[in-house]
Amino acid sequence: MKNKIIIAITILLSTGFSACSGYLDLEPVDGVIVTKFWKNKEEVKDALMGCYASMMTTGAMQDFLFWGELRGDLIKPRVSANNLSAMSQFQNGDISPNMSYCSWGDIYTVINNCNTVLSFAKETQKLDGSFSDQLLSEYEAEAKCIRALMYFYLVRTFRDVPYVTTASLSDAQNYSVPKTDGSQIIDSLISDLKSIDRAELGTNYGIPYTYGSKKEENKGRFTLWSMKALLADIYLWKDDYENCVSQCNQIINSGQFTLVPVQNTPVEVISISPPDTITAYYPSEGDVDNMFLNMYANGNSVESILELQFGTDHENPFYDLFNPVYGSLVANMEMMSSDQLFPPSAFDRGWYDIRGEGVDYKQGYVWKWIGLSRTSYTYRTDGMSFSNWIFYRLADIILMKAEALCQMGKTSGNTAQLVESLELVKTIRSRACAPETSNEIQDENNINPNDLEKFILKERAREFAHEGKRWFDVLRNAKRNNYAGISYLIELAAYAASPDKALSLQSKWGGDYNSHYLPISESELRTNKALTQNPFYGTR
Amino acid sequence: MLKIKDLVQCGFHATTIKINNERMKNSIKIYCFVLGLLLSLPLVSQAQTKTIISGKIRDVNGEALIGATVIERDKDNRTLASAITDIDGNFTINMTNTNNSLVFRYVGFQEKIIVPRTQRVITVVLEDSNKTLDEVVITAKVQNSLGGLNIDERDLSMAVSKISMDELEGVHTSSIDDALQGRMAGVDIVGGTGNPGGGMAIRVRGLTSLNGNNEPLIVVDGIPLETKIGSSSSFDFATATEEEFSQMLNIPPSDIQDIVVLKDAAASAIYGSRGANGVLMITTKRGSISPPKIDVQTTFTLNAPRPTLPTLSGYEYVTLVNEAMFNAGKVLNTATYPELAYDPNNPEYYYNYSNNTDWVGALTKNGYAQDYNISLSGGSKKVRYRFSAGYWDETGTSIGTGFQRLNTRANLNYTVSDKLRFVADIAYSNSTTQSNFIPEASNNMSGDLWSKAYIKMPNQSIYYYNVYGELTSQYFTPYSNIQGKYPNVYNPVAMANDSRVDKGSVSALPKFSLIYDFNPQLQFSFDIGLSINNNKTQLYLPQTASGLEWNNSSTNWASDRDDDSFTVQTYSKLRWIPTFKDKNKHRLIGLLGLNTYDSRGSSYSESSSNLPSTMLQDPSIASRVYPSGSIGAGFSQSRQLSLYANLNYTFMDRYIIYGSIRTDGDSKFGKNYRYGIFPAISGRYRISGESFMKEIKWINELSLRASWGLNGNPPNSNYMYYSKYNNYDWNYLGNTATYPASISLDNLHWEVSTQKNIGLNFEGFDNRVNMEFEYYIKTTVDGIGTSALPSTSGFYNTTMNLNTVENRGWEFNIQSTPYRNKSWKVDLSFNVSRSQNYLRKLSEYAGTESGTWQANGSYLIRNVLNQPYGSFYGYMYNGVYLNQNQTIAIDKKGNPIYTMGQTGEMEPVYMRFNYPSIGYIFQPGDARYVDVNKDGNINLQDVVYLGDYNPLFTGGFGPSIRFKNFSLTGWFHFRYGNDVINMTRMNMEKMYSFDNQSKAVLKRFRTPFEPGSEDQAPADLLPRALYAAGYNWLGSDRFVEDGSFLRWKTVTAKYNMPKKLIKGIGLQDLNLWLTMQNLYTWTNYTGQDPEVSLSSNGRDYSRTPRPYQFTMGLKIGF
Repeated sequence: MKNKIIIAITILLSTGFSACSGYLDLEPVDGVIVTKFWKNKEEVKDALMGCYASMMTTGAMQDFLFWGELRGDLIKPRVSANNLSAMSQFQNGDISPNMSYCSWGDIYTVINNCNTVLSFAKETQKLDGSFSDQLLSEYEAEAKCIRALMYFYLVRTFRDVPYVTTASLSDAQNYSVPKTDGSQIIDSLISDLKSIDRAELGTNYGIPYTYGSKKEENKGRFTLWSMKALLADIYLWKDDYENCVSQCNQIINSGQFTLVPVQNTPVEVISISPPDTITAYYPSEGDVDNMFLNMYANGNSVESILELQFGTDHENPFYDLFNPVYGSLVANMEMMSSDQLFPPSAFDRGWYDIRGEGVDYKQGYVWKWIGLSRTSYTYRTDGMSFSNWIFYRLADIILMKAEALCQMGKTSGNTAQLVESLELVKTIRSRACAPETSNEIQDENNINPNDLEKFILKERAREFAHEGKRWFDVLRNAKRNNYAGISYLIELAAYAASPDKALSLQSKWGGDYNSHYLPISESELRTNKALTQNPFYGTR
Repeated sequence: MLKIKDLVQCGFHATTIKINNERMKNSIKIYCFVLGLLLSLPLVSQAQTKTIISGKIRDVNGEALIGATVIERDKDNRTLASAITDIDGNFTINMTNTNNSLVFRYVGFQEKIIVPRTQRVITVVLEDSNKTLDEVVITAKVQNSLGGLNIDERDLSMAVSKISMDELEGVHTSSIDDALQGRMAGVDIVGGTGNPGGGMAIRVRGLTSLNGNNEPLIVVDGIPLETKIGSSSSFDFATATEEEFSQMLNIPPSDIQDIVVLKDAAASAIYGSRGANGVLMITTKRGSISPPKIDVQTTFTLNAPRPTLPTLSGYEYVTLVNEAMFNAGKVLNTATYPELAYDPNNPEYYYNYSNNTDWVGALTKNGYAQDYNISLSGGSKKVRYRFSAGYWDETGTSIGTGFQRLNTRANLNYTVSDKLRFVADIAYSNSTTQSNFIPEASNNMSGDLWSKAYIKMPNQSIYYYNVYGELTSQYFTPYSNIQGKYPNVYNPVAMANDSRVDKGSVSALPKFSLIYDFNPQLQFSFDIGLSINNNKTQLYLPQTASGLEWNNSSTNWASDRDDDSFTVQTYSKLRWIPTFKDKNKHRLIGLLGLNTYDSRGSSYSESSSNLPSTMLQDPSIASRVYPSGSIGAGFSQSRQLSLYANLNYTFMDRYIIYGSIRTDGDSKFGKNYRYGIFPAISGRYRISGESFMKEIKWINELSLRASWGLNGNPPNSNYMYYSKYNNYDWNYLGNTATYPASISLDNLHWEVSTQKNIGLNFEGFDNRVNMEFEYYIKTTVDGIGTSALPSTSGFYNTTMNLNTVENRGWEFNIQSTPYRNKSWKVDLSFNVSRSQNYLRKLSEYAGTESGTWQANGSYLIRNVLNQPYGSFYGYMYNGVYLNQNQTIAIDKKGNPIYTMGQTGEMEPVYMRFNYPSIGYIFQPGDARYVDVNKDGNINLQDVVYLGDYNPLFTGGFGPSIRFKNFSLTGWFHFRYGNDVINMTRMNMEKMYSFDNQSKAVLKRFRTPFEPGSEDQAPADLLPRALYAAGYNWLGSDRFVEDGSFLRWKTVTAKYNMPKKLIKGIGLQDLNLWLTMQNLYTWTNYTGQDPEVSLSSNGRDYSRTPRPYQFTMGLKIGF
């Protein structure tokens, strides 16, 4: 008996010890670990799609929207909004670094996803024989485009930000990265994008022209054309107009994109007193309905260049933000109203701008992102908020080109450029059946470049209302030529801020140009000791 | 014969077998099979040469005893054969060896032992045992089983304190933690809510780890209780509420014998890293050698609600918000806000928004609790047993809260022979906690409805009035109104009644121990403890409470979540107790042990919405499954391995030394840092044992103790040394979207705490006074915590080794019997302890600050070197600006500051907030903050230290008076010197939104006081109402209050029926008692209750307060 027990104990202890070595090695079963990932090209593609998908998180989507619109004058928080006071403080320019709108983490998550693809794709290619050099270069180019787009958002919002191009892998790395000058980042982005421009380089490597016949793929992923749209936008921000025009021209001449057509019928309208005759335009209502459907409700229209593809498996945050029942944001009707953006024709024959009611807004609500029809009051319900987010469409390129040409004409005094610029604006206006009252350049033979600049800016507000562009448009025009256009911001403040705050906001924006950029989030300063708070917001 | 070896291997197989969810059940079967085999072990006969012995058993009167037992026992008292007498009292038994003894037994008779030798026929006469049983005196030294070391209490050199359940008699709690509040020095127990099943946080010697895991290890009968349920992703200590922790503590107090707390590193050396936060060792009651004894205990309790904070009436409220809008320069447009219009032409709004609703009152009711316990215990030399079953049913003082528990426990000791014994315990419990659905909480469970009810607009009706002004039975639940929208606005009464948060917990804890004595010096024991837990959480959010549209994805939303865990722990120990010639001179105990731990958790959850009716609350009913992520599953596993050696040596009964060394391995670390070595040493010097002390008769015991030891603490989460990739819940263009979910933590290593302890024991005056004093310093280096990562990395935070924290403190405990005679006995006990933590080193990656100084409602929480954790920083509140003159900035010399205006005239500079980025100019009626640096600008430079939530002292005291069969016991609990941020008061005095406010705001600023008449302003004047503007409720000392309190926790009056009286009706015991709990609290705190949940870091959100409790109890022993 005794011996048996001793044997049992010995066996027990020895099994226990011999099991030691492997006993504590455990691997997770849910989720993949890095040593088991990055084995073939399919996984690289999955990670690349992860870069796109990470732009669709609520946080990133809100950044795109809020950074582009919330300080602008086209939306405002609703009185019953959940975080009304934070939103209105932000809009009134009472911005403090603890506000969630100053957090850039969701954008850097996208950047890190891109950096991870860029740092592992090459090694993966060595393991996967079927992974061609060309495909590798295409995947890498896509990741670079997404990364450039993210940095462009950051630079426009914060100006100087940490420029991280290495993947975050281990806690042994140093994550305290100091800020890089915004203009330097812009230059890096430009050279990054130029390095993958297969049209200009004349190779088969770099960003592809197309991903086949599916329009979702061609609009949903970076192509050569969407890369050029981004590049044009960056050039415009940099005030590099020649290059901007050249990129825009390549897109316009590519034959890939056309404006969503709206047939309109010119009608001679005769006024008796004062006696005058003018041509009014009446659109085909069906065309306008279809334009709304194709461009916003369904997405991936012929005009679209790049848009984020939401689908039934993932919603955008727009229902929560804009729904007429309890959404947080509504259209700023003071601005949208008839005496500002959408004055009706003086001839009062029902000539109206098709971009007003039913497109930019409906019954005071932001309509582009939740409306399902222009004419009827049907909108996406909770759980159906799938509208795509448009980064670039042809109208944007046309107006970018117009803006660049206007600036070139302004400097050179070359009237031809101004005329060409105005022609481009008219293209957009004629599609929109914009009435004569919103036409700020009546005398086409004697174009004042400053008026044209203003006109283009306003036209952009009409065309791209709530598409996340307003603030960047105004700021770009304001900062040009060493803040020669600061009055644009002063004017914006009057409509963006609440009446009691407008004056103080105007003195902030006019008094210290640093106030145009957001402060670095408080939590970010705490964790990253290499950062300093942006000027205007104090030392911390 | 069945071989022990096989059995042991079988048991071991159960531990190493690959177990997944399905196999879990198989393992239970294996275990039960093993258990069954062992129980039948003595009956297994042996194939050897046998001798047949026959005979007869009679009583003294010559009557045959039917069914009496005859057992053959060898010299080790091992049972070899057995037989039972027939109807005539005859027996026949096959004896292996006639030199072995035959044991004759019959219930109620005295046992008889005969060695047959050459006899073949035996007639035995058994005597009645009634007389002799009473005379059995069991003498044993008090021992503390420190995980198998079994050192005599007088030889202990570590910091250990013990409480016997007898001291807690009459205290009526569903869980032991509540009863222990304030009872043990150095053990701080704090509850957060008065809801049933609420649970409490336990801290032994203060907060040490930033990890979030500061709960002590709970050990039940030698096996640590598993407190993590489900996969790591679902159950995380950092986010777990106390409720979740308490579910693991499903041991009814009536089953507990005593509780020992191991406080220093030397004491917790057996349980290693898992005991780094202290060890609470619970010993359950076991059977003793006695005839069967049945105890029945039942109690009935009334839970009476406490008074609530007074809030504004409907009219007062409307007046206030009108004023707040006006002051903010806004016009209250009754077309936009029909809720405030009181317009009879708009009947729907008029009737539904012209009430005087007491929302908190509507949530409150009386609660009841009933509790039944029955136990059967007894035993003989061979077998001792105790079986118990209990049922607890309680409803809380808030509607929709409750707690039910069914539990059973079987404890069995079986002595196979003098050499071999085994112990088999199995405990099963099934409990359900009902609480309210909290939509605004991240997990829909933490918090309760009170904080919502307090700020709900009082003019709104609970039930819907139709347009004719008739009250209907439907709840009035608009999805949005001026107070906001769901999830911030809902009908709390509808939520309490119709929603559902049921947390079910089923746990089975089988334990099996085998003890084999090679000889009196060497003992081997093997324990295997299984823990099978299943937690089920069912949530239901009804449309009647949320008011959402029918197609909303949160309408009639139901969720069902299962968390399962299966843990196998083994403890193999070899104990060596050499015998010395002179037992009084040398005593030595050595222990060598190997522990293994394997825990697997899995979870599965499902949720769906748009269920057709409020009656149908199960997500499996046909409904909409949306959005993505509504189905989830997870699995996680962790393992630990420890090897250790301990030695305790006592010389001359005076000099005691104890040493321990252990190595721990944990699967949570990468290969580089997987193992840690942790030594401990301690000593005790019994001064009273010296010959020169013998003369001092009034000292019974005087000892000095000292200990030093290391302990390691692993992180909470598994697999962190891998960089993981996850998929998004959605695809992109039909393609899987993968992303890096974490960075690999290559540098993460053990958090090591060094604990130094000195102690003093004194016993004197005929053992009437018993005192203990401890002083300790516990330094935790490389504390593991969550560090915010610069988000430019793409990640928000990670886990790493961060700060060094030192906990210093002392504990003092005295138990005394000031008076004692034949009929009187008066006991007094008192304990007090102090535990203060200091940050001794701050990692550059550690977040040193949270919160903000730039927004209302927020305090800066800073971690400052050589200061305690989590100190509050904010502004100093200095009343209200009474007029415009007072808002003029004053410079350092005390003069008003002037500046050149635009018109060239000197203009006064008015006080501003956060100039230039905000630059708000203070107005008369605004809160006035102290401008510390006198620059006319209230900003970061004016932020000062306001307090911290760590108490200076905690403890308790209470008398116990016995007079004959009557006893009166009471207990008081106190915490002193902690600061509480009264968030409820802040939310109810801010006058910033459409929230209802407390009656205190009736004394708000309305018109400026003319210069010169400032002294007419009342002392408790509050700032003006200001809707969504201004800075009247910045984090300031206005809302920081002293949270010290002394609570009269319990008083029990008990009557023990005299034995003589009840013997006639066949009873052994009959006790009746009456207990009152939470009778009164002495405090200066103005909120509901100064006892604020530890997890809220000193912020009081006014959760359901503890009710007054009145309990009647009855205990009968047969």
